[in-house]
Amino acid sequence: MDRCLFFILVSSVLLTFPALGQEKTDTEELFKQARDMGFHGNREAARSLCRVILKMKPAYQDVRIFLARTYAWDKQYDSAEVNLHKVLAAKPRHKDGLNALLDVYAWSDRPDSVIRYSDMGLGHHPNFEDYLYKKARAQEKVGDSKGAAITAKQLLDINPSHEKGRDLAKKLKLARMVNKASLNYAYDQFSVIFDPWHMVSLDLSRKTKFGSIIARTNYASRFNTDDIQFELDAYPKIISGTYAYLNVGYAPDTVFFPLFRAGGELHQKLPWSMESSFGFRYLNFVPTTVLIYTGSIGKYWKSYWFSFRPYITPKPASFSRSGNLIIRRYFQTADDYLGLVLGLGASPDEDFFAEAVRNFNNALKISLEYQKLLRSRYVFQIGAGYQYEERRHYNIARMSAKVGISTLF
Amino acid sequence: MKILLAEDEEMMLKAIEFRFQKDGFEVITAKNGKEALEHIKKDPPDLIVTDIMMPFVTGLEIINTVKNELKLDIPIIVLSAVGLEDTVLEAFELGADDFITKPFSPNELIIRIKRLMARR
Repeated sequence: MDRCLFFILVSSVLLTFPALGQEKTDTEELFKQARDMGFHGNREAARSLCRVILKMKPAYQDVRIFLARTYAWDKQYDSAEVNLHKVLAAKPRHKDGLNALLDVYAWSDRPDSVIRYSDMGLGHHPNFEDYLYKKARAQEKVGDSKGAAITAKQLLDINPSHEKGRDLAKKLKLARMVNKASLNYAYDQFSVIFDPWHMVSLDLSRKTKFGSIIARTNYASRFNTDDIQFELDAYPKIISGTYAYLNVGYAPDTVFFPLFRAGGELHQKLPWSMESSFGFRYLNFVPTTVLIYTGSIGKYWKSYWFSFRPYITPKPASFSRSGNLIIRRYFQTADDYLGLVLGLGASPDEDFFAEAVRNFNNALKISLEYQKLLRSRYVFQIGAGYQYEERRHYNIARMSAKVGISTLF
Repeated sequence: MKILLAEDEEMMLKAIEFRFQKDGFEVITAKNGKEALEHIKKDPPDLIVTDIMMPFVTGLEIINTVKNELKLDIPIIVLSAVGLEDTVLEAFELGADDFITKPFSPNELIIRIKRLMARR
């Protein structure tokens, strides 16, 4: 097929351009055609035409770079790399050749090679913005956020309005702020019987190379009395793409919160931007204990995150089931989003009473939450929700509101 | 004044318990009828507030034991649900003093308790 195509192309070239003496003009015209084909998706024909041109003019490096790029677009990274190394063998300082090679290494997930060759390129062209940006991205990818920040700063010193560079610098700055302190307040108003509930949480979290650790204190005021709970969460990294969630909690007075709580969950990243998890929650409301099995399946699609989390609680003769569907639309950073939660049954994480946890399948809820990163340091969160609960002898509606502020440092 | 509160729904039990305490009552709680009867026999309260449908021993059995077997003169308020009208009638026949239907206002329950105690 290739040979046939090649023959047709060569014939058409000879028919169209009988005076091969006008080599320069002819190859330029053919290159223009090859580019048109390549940019319009006809890559195989574009590559065949590039090969024709290279037979006519082997040192036409722009054609070889374009040929390599078409291979890279089709994920044929080895062929792309071979052609780009030919360019660099002939012209080691070829700016575009090296730039294309950086793309090939970046797309084929070889950040170490991107760093090595961008350093080489910067030796020849120290102010070339593309090299700096690609190097910074690669440094970030290998976990060298400090080096990435220095490279991004070099880039912004040269061109302060480099938009992608600015976004990267902002992201790196956020990544360097490994500590976070959060203060949250939640209010629940009931349609009947119960007085409003108040809850205040203070979180301190730190990102470490082993994963994040969060210490939390929850203070609840309900029925004109108080309760306090201390919790510790950890998200240890196990291997690439696998991490765990571990939780322990203690409420000495155990008025509303369980005396002890524990949780464990294993999260696994999956292909197609998906993630799954499975685990448990253990709540010890003296003298009753509740064991809940849970898990999740989620998918990123464009700027959206979809996730479904079921809860299954064994009861003496049956199971109690509930679940939450979470949809989030992310904006500039992972801290900027608008979220919708649709739930069947109360979330057992709202562990008020053993009875409430076990009977959570008789509730419907909807809530909206909005989170915004302000001045690259503060995270502001608000939310509101409505829950309708069918209890044994009566129905009750619950309106919830929450507000929170976090600072990164 | 000491009130015995018998209710198997934990959230309701806590809500009423804390409301009673706020109004200055001493409260003894029972999560089922059996527990309630044990309290009554050991240390009779000044007033009983009981749910009707409870595990082991129902609210009706509590009323019968208090009023007819132990012959105690303790006022009893029944917490009932919509649809249990016949049961409420039975409760009155057994000797219940008042009833209130869920969902109810805690303020109304307090008023009923105070009114009942004032008549005595």
